[in-house]
Amino acid sequence: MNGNIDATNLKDGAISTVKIADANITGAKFGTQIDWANTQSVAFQEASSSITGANCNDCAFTGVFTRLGNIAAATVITGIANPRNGRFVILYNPNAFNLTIANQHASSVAANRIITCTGADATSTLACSAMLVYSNTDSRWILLNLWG
Amino acid sequence: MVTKPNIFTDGQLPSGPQWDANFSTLYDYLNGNIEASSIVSASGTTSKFNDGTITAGKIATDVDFSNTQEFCFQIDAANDPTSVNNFRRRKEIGYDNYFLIDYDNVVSATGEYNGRNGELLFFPWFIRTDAFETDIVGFTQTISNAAGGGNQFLTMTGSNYSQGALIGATGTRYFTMKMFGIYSLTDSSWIFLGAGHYNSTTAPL
Repeated sequence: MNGNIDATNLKDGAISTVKIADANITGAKFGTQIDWANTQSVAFQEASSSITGANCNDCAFTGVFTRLGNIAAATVITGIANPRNGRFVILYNPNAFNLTIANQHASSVAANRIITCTGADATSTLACSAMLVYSNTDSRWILLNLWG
Repeated sequence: MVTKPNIFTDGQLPSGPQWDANFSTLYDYLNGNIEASSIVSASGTTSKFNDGTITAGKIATDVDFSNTQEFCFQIDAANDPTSVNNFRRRKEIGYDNYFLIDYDNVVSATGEYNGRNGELLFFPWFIRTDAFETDIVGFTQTISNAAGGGNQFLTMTGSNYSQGALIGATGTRYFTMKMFGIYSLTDSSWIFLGAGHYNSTTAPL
């Protein structure tokens, strides 16, 4: 009598805060504007990376925000795996080793490569942060910022 | 699991009035505490969510925002440029003023602003001055680099970061500044992602 309840069986506004368990929202796309009230914040939980240095081709970063805490030598990121239309990535290198974001580097598969928008690699010699977003049209990551 | 309401005894055939009197209880018993397993997949639609309902601590899947929709951080339009929290500060300054904002420790060590794991921070600042005479006007902001352990910033340069301008000016002048950060739980600090500023007699677009 109560199973297989469809939207038509639910009152408008029926689904309230306490009915949604933590980590249960699995919709693939939000089809509407999302406005975050100025009393709330957005957080992308920090992930860690195992890369330690040298070239990282088709780097597999999970989530949005990745801390490159294990870097112990100069590192070149030539590409990021699992691109998706509009995927947004933030990288943070806490260690004072060169981090290079390579421009259109052939060591990564084409779809994983990065456009730095300068025609050249972008390099930081200090601890640094970087933001990238994926362009489906160009099938490339676009470097928004390399800071540090 | 809903507790069965012991309204009627076994074998009892409720009268009309008894049924009416207990209908709400029975209705809630039959329809209340509906668990997720009873709801068809994708049944929840826009109108079924109360505004402000979604407060689950984490979204456990990739989330894609349709390219026909916007993603907005609502602003706090407060006029006080010396207060830390939230996203937008704007101040109109009258003529004949000497006005300087020198803001150290955007996020103070006293825990004024508690960053969460991966929290985004965005400060856009807008200031317009109308200097009647040759007034000294200026706007500088210093983000103090600190080693973490609280709510400090790591500027990624190893030193404090300052931006802004201090000039003598007449007429209307516009200053804007922007700054981005994200909170690292590992380092207990805000990580500086980038910044920029603008200083002109022309209003920014």
